[in-house]
Order: sequence, then structure tokens, then C-alpha cells
Amino acid sequence: MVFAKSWSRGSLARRYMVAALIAALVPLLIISVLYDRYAADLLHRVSASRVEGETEAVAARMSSFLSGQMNRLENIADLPATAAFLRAGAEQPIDDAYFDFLLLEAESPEVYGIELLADDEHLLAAAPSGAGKRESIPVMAPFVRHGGADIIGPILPENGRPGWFLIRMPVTVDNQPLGFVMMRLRLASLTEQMAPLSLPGIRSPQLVVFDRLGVAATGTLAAAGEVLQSSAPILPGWRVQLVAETGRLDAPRQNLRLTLLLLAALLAAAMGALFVQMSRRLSGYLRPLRDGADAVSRGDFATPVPDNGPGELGSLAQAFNHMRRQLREMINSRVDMERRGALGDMAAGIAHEVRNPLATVSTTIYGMKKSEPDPDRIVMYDAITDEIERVDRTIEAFLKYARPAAPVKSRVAVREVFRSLRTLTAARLMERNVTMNLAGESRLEFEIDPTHLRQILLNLVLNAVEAMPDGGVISLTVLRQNGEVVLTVADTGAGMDAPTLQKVLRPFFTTRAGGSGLGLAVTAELVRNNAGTMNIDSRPGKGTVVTLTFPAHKSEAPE
Amino acid sequence: MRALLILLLMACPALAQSAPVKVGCLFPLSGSGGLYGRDSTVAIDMAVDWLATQEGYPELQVDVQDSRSKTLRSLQIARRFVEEDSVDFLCGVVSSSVALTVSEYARKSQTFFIGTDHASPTLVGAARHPWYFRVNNDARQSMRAGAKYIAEHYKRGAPLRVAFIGPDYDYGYQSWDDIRRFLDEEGVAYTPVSAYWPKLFDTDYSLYINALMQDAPDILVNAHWGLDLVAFVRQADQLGLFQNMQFMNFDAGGNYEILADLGEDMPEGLILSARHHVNWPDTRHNAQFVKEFYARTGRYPSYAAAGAWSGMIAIATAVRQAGGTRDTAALRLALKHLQLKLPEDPEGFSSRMDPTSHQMLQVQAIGRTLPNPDFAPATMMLGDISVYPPPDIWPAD
Repeated sequence: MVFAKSWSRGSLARRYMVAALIAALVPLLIISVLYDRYAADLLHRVSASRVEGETEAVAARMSSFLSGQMNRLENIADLPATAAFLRAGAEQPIDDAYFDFLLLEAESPEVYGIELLADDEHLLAAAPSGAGKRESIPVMAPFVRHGGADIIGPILPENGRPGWFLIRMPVTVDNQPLGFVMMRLRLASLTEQMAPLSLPGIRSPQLVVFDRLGVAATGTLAAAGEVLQSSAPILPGWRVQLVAETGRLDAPRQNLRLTLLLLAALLAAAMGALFVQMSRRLSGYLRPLRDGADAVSRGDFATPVPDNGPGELGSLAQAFNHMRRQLREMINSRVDMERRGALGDMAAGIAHEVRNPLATVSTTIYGMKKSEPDPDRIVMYDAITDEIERVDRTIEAFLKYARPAAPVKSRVAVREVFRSLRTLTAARLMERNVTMNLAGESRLEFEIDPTHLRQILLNLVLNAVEAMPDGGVISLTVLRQNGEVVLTVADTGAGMDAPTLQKVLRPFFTTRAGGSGLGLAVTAELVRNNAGTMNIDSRPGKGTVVTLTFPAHKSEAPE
Repeated sequence: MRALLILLLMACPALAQSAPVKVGCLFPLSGSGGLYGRDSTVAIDMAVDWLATQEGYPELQVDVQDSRSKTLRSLQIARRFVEEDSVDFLCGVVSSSVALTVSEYARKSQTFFIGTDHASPTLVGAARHPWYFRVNNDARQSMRAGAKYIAEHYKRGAPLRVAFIGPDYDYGYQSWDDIRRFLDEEGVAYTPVSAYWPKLFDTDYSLYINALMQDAPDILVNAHWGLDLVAFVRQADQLGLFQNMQFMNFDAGGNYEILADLGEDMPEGLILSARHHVNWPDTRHNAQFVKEFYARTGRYPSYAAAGAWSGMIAIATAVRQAGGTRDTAALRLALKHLQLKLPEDPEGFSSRMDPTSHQMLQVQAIGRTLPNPDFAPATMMLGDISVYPPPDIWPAD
């Protein structure tokens, strides 16, 4: 439980490290187990206890093979025809039937040929006919006398001919030697019987004669080596031995070990590289998030973090950006509310401390003007009165901005609003040589405070007129789009550049001499109070388009 | 002189005998190698039928007996052919060891023996006699072509490591002697690393394949034939031998029967040859021979069929040129200078008998196994063929 908590709280990088180590260690463990099993199996296969029985069985089969061949030769030696032929010597050609019998005996693949020799060992006949033309017996050939027969050889392959050995048996009648029958045998037919003992690369069986001549299972010369097992003699001085192929045994094991070690090292290196790469990639995705969080903590809500990361990291970045936007709006809203609260208090103070004295001053001026005979002074009193009224209007606008009246919504026909707007502004439009076009769905009706709507549109139209000192066109349109009412006020006036556009909604910001700088701020506030949005698009020299969007149906005003 | 002699023989007297020429053939018709005998019998029938349509050739009366590739049985059949049936010719014999015994009997009985399939050079070398002629290429010519192929295709600095494996009888011994002899003659730098002789008609070669893989030669020259070769290739492929060395069999490996028997088990890239190919030479004569054989049997011929065809055509031609079978000297002279146009002869070449050795001299074509579906059930056929004309005279020992 403690571990689980610790694990879940641990850094992601550490978790990757542990995962990488596990991923590297598990295959290594498997490989080690496999290698261990291989080594154990190898040991088992070469263990003397297991092969002893097999070696003796093979030796017994080889001994039996030799006995069979000797028995066959003995049968030939015992034939009266053999004695008759040898007694006649070279003077008499071999009888067809007897030759056929010898040929039949020699037809076995184990037998190269059967030869009949005179008492002085010179060749009298051979079956097949060419058999006697084979190699002569080397002087130093091993010689064994066993069971009444001479075993000569083995003679190893030489001059491109396979190895062989001889079984020679004397032919006697009444203890009088007549000659010999001799069978030339294929050496590999004897040695091939050792094949089941062979494990290539591990051990090889050998027929060892007089401890100096080793013959492999293929009937070829065998290299000496460490003797693992030796059988009982199959003939005097002939035995089967199992020899370890030392070099061949060690080399594959060493190669295997090196291969396994190399594999393990490569695996570890690959896992390390993979981890580093994964760590870098992860850091690459996490660092912008950390920087973004730092920026938010510094009050920078404007800089987004890249959200193109893979999987959950991308989702996290998107969620972070969403959070940043929500936070910004929430803070802005809170600040705005507090600012409004402060402005409201200040507005109440101004209304009380400035407007009341101004009303007294205005009344007094009015009285003084009534009793003033001097026309010049009357002009001065009028000027004072105008200025007092201008100050009063500004205070009135400021009060509207700071403490806007709650909207009282009713069903408003846009056509009626447009008509009263045209009436209210007709003189001003004519004076400035401005044309106003009305377009769109003139019968459209929607829920809004009618006073607020008139004020909004009036402010926007008057602003447009001010933007066109040399005349122009104002276009008012109303449309229903996607369940909303969209009102646009477009002019062909001077337009605004981007910096001006950014500041245009701030209270007291104005580009006109004598302007209060509250018109658009109040307008925006009225729009917001009626659950609408206002968007201003303007280009210098091209004009300005203000787009107002209100819900078509009655909705609650924002709190 | 030789040309004059041939002209004289061509202007032979009219056939003096009307009795059919009696031919006793020995082929294995059952057991291992039985297909060679059966293919030979079909080709003999084809030859007899064809000769019957030609003017001036004697009628052949051919008796084919199943030798089962056994020496004593073959000797007894040969004796019966000669002593009871009074045949004019012995023919056939697949195994060289059997052929040596039959040939020895032919010498003793003074009967012509026309060898059609066996290939040991000993029969036309140390065991040559006036009554023996062979009408198929022998292993010596195959090995000579093989050595030339190696010399042409394996030019490199380090000596080639060459190993050998072949059946444990005279044919195998001679093949190993000859490939070394001709590699020396071609000036190929090589080292013989090992030589193995499994017994003829063996079925398990794993002992020798493992030994060869431990010897790790560059080239393995193989002299197996028939089912021995099929078994060896199949086992060697399973044990991965072909990935470690280049396998070559210059005498019998490319025989159609081997390619068909192995089917999809025949690996690509083995270097093989045969005494007759069903897809080479691309001549009308060869195509007709293959087509006729296929029409009669529903299968493509092994090289034994071409050998038997050659044997029959050789006997008929020699008897025609000698004016009969009675004058054995004339018959021998005709055989000595025999020149035949055979299916295995490419354009512009005719097989000809070497008068000294009594060995037919023929072109040898060596190729590489490549995918080829044209002769099903074989999936691989020889392609990328290299052609080697025979020497002017047979290379004696």
C-alpha cells in the first residue's frame, strides 16, 4: 500500500526508468534460464553414465557384424568346391557354378570381393573378377588372429579409394594347408554402425585399433581427442571409443556465451537509449506546460501552450489552455465587477457632490441672466449655462455606464426602432450630408429593453456620423441567423487602426475633441446587459462595421 | 583418314542378312533404378518402330530382362542370352559394377556388348576389350566438363576447398579421380578436403552430410545417381548443407527423373548436368524425341531413355554398315567409326565413337537449377547452361 502510494507519487521519469529496467531484465533472465538449460542438457548428453550403455551396445553390434562375416567366410572355406579349386591350383579354370556362388556371396554392399589364394598367398581367383586388382596389403597393416581367422587392417582411405579390411581364413584338408579364402570388406560398413553415438560438434565415436589408429564413423581417419568412453574389445586390440570434439565442443559454447552476452549488452543499451529518448520526448511535451503554468502565475493569460502532443499529453495541454481562458475571463469579469462597484460609488459621490452644486449654479445663473440688461453678459451667462449642461450630460453618461439600469425587456419591433432612430437623427444626417440605409427583415421582433436598443443604435449611428465629417453612408441591417438577431451598423467613414480599436471600449477614451469617451463604453455595457455581444471591425480609410448579436428569444441577462 | 573411313563405311554394301538382329538387353525393371529400365524399354520400342520406317536398316529383335542391378543375376541373364538365345548383341546395364562383370563375360564369350547407361571410365579404360562399346557419355567426360565449368566460374585467389561424396563402387572412385585430374589440367588451385563413399543404394546420408558440414568445403562434388541422389539432396537440404557450400553433380544430377522426383524439394542454385536433357538442346530432333516419349508414357524421359535409343540406333547403323552380323571384324570397324545424330546432340554436332577407347564422344551441358514450370512435376529445370564439346580423343588413363 505504501509502495503503491509512493509509486503513484513518484516522478514519471523514475517510473520509466523502473519500467525500462524490468523490460531489460526480464529478457535477460529468460535468456539466462535458456542458456542454463542448454548447458545442463549438454552436460547430461555428454555424461558418461548415459553413453556407457549405448557404447557397449554399438560395440556388440559391430562384433556381431564381424562374426557374421567370419561365419560367411568359414562357410566358403568349408566348401568341398573350395578345397577342390585350391588343390587344382591355377591349372584349372574356376567352375561357373562355384564362381556364381562366390559372386553371390560378394554381392553384399559390405563386401568388396572374395579372393582365393594359393598356399604361397598368390591370387588364384577373385569374385567379382576385378576384385583382385585392388590395393595390396601394406606391410605395416594391423594384424589380429581371432577365431581361426586373420583380420588384417583396417586400411584407411588412400589415393582416392575408401578404407577396407580383410578377413583371411586358411583352407585345410586333413591338416594339410591348401591355401586361403579371403574376404575384402568395406571399412565404412563396420564403422557406420557407430553413427548413433555421434553428436556433431560435441562428441564422435571412433574405432580404435591398438590405441594408435582411430577410424571415424565415416570410415576415415579420426583425430585424437579426450576419450569420454571406451567399450570392451570387439576384437583383440579393437574397441569403440567416444571422443570429445574438444575444439568443436568449446567453440560453439564460447560463441554462444559471447553471443548471449553481446545480446544482453545490446538489449540493455537499446533499453537505455529508448528510455533517454522517451524521457526527452516527454520533457519536450511537459516543459511548455510548466512554462505556461509559470506564465499564468505571473498573470499572463494570453500565451497558449502547444497542444499538439500525443495522446493524453495533447489532451492535457488542451485542458490547460481551456483552463487558462476560463481563468482569464473569470478574473476579467471579477475585476470588471469590482471596477464597476468602485465607479458606482464614485458616480454616486459625483452626483451628490458635483451635480447638486451645479444645479444651484445653473439656477443662479438663470436668475442673473433674467435680470441682466447687458447683452454681452447675457451671452456669457448662456455660455456658462451651456458648459454646465455639458458637464451634466457627461455626468449623466458616466452614471449610466457605472450604474446601468437593469433592462426591462419586451417584444420590440425592429421596424419601429429604426423609424424612431431615423426621425431622431434626420436633422443631424442632413447636416452632415450622410445617407442612412435600412435593410434586412424589417418585420423582425425580439425580446430586448426597447430604451436600451434605441440608445445602443443611436450611439452607434451618432458615432458613425462623427466618423464621416464629409458625408457618407450608414447602413443599418437586421437579420436572423442561427436563432440569433444580428444587427449591423456600417459606415463609410475614416475607420480606425488596430491600436485605436483595442482601446475604443475603454471609458473616457475618445478621438474627438469634446467627446466624453463614454459613448461606446456605455453602448457595450447596454449590449451586455441585454445578453448580447458586440463586435467592431474597422479599417482605416474603409469604414467601421459594428455587429450586434442578441438572442432571438427571451433570455436572462448576465449576472 | 578418318573422314575417308567414314565415307567408306557409309558406302556400305547392301544388307546381306534378312534375319532379324537379336539384341539381349539387361536393365533393372524393378527396385532401385527400375525407372531407368522402364524408360529404356520405351525408348527401345521407339527406336525399333522408327527403324522399321527407315529403309536399309535391319530389323531388331530386342529382348529386355530385369537385371535388378544385381551382378550374379545379370551374369546369368547374359549367359542365357548368349548361350541359349544366341543374341548378336548384349546391351544396356545401369550399374557400372554390374557392367564390369557383364563386360568380362562379353569378352570371354566374344559377344558385342553395347553399353547404354553405366558410366565408369574403367569399362573403356583398364577393362576395355574389342567387344565392348559404349554409346552414352561416360563420367570422365562429365568430370572433364565439370572441371572446365569450375575453372570458368570460380576464379579467385585462395585455393578452392573441394570435397567429394559418391557411391562406394568403381563409378564413384573414377569420378573422384577424374575431377581431380581435370582440375589439375585446367590449372585450378584447389585443396581436396575430404572424400566419402556411402554404399550404393544407401538411404541415410546424415552421417556423411554432418561430416561434410564440419569439413566446410567451398564446393561439394557429388557422384550419386538415381534414388541415392534424391535421398541425399532431400536430407542435405533439411540439414542446411546447401547454405554452406556449392553442390555440383556433373554426370547424373540434372537427369529429368531426379528433377521430377524431388519436385518442389529440389533447391534452386545447384549446379548439375546429365547425359540428356529434356529442355536442351533446343533442336527439333530432341523435341520430337521428348514429345514421342511423353505421348507413349505420359511422362518425360530420363537420360536412360536417350542411352537406350542411342544403343538401338548404333546397333542398327553398325549392322547396316557391316552388311550383317556375321562379319564381326566389319561390325567392330563400323562400331569403331560410328557417327550418329542423336537427340542430345546440339545443332552442328554429331555424336562420334572414339575408335581407340570405344567410348562415344558427346557434348556435355552444365546448368544451374532454376524455377521452370514447363516440365511438371519438376519445378526446377537446368538453366544458365554452359556447353562443353568433347575432346578429339577420349582422355585415357
